[in-house]
Amino acid sequence: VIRLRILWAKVRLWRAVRWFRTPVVAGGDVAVNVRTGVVVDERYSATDVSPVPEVPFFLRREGMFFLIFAGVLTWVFLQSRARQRGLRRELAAARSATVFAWLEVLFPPRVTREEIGDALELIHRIATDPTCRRPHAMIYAKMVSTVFWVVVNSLRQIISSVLGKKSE
Amino acid sequence: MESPITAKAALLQALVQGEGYGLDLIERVRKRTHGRVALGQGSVYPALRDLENEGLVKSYEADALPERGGRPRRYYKLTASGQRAALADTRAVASLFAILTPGTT
Repeated sequence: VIRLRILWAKVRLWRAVRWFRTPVVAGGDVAVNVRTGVVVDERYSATDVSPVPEVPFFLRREGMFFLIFAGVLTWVFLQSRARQRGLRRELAAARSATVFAWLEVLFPPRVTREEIGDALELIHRIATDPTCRRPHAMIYAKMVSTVFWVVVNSLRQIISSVLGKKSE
Repeated sequence: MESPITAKAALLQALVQGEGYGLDLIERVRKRTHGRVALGQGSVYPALRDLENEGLVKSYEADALPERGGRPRRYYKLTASGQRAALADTRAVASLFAILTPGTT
């Protein structure tokens, strides 16, 4: 509000300056466009008329309305994008949990409980943190990498337990 | 660039600070090395299990947490031999850098 008032004061100042700068062309019937400085009547072509400077668009009333309108539109758009991003991340987290639940049935509990638990905790942090700007694709990437490593680590553990050796 | 130390050594050093679980240990190592050592899921859990099999760490399961889908966190902590191994690692690396640093004996 303070900024708007300052801006409005500037506009009023600009208008006052413009009024004072308006050339006074005396002599009765003068056909001069004082805004453009174009002498309409040839008889007065020698008259020194300087064009009045134009007020910049963003200092004019319509420019200020345009700025406010654009600001509001941008804010609404960003809010909607953030909400969409959050929903997509929550959806990705829910899908990951479903995939992990299936994975848990197939592989050793020691591996799945630890690794899937940690992955889900990380995904939960990404999905619920409102300040997080990571895309939902990150969650899917984490899900895929977790599935891969759970399979590999489970196979390692199964092989090492069968062979009676420690996994490398 | 490859990691300058092995996952096992990094985990032992991270556990010197206190007990921790997998995700926490990965974060600890990343923060302490300013991102130079980034442990992955493929190396941390097998390394932790190996350390446990070697008797350098022991683990226990804490309470189940809802954000983990009702799964418990598995915490690891150093055993006495793990602490000795971590100290030996620290001394070895320190002496190596003392040799390599000019002007030190």
